[in-house]
Amino acid sequence: MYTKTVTMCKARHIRKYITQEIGYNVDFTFDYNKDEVTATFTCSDDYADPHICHNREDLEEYIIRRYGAFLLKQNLSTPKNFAMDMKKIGEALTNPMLKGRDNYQDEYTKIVSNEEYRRLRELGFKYEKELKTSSYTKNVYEYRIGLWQGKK
Amino acid sequence: MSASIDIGHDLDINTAYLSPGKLNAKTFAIGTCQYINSLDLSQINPGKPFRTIGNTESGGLKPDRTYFLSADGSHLVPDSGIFHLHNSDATDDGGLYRKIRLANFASWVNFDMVFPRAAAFKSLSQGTSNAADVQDNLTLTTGTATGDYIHIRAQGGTLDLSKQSAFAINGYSPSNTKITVKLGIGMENVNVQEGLDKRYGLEACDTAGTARQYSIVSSNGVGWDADPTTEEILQTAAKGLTIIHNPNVSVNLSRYISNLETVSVKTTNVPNSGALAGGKVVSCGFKTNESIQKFYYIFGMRMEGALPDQYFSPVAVL
Repeated sequence: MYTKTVTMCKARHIRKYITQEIGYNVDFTFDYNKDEVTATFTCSDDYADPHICHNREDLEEYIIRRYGAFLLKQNLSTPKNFAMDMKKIGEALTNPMLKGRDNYQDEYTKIVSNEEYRRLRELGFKYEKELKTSSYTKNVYEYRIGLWQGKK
Repeated sequence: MSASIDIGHDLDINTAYLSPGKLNAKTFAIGTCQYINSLDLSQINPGKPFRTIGNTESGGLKPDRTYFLSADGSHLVPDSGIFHLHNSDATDDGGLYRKIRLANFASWVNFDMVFPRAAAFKSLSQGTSNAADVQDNLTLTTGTATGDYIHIRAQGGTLDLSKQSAFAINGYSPSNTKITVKLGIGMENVNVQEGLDKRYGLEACDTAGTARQYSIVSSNGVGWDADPTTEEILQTAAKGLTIIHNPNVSVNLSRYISNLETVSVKTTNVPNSGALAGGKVVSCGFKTNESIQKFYYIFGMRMEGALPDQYFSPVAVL
């Protein structure tokens, strides 16, 4: 996970423009008296979907492109109560977009319903195990899920 | 100078004389309520737009509004978007409120638990954990053994995740270590590992004894992730946390920290389709990860959003 904390001017104006591009997350604090905004932007390059993976250089470029005209201070320290290890990403390990990537820190299994399985199958996800339920209910399916945990 | 009435087309540089009279007839008059109220309306073109500025009301006009001169030139008509009470069927009042409710009968879902009570929820628990009504709040109390949990769920219902919705809770916990908390929409039970189910909400987990903050969690049915925020779990009094779901765009956590409006925006794995199954919609869970009893106090909860098509059939408003 990559983070960058900045201070910007025009709090009331920016409050209306907090929508972000996919893959960039932000924690905004608006101080209307000082007319300033403190924002901690974060992104990660551990997602299966390459469209939402962004690295540190992408983050710097994004902030300048989107909020450059409002920047007052840069390179501020990340707030103490912004725990990097609370960043978690969970992906079914058969997600075709992972392309065999296996740098996850932990894994666990999860059983999904038949309906959910059919949707995942359409997207190219393979199950680990098919589990029979009863003669009159549909089977359920077990998937392995990889857990990527946050780190700086 | 008085302007002749000029209606229909925009001014054309080739055919129109750009006299002040014609320009005035086409453009907004901007002034304080007192000034606009003092004008002789009979000398002004019907349909002429006015914008009020300043901060003082005058003669029924209010600042920061748009008015148009009526067709007969006798009075100023407020633009739509004006403050109105929906307490009559007159145009300026926007129609009766009961008709608005009926017109949205089949498309709107409202979960109102500003006055929560334990009997309104299905409680799932381990050990001596429980959800109990006290006068001030609905208290979630865990048992005294590691892993004891209490998870309350509103039965039945559904929510269309392809439309905007919001969930809010007013409450707090005096513990921020060795706990697991999961609050929100479509959330799994607090004692189980995260799945791929579509959902959005807040969660935090600690087993190491490290003071924790809330993370925003969301899943679009394919992958899930949790993003840290600056919102401290440890509080000494109830505070409001509002989570707003903008399908396929973001899940936002809005709250106040030290009286400053603070908004966290999460843009990854945001659900954008499907409807939640009965009993999956609103839930709150709290677990202790050590052999000490922990508490979460819920003072109020609220959720609003959309019902899926054909969940109820519509009402034609007469």
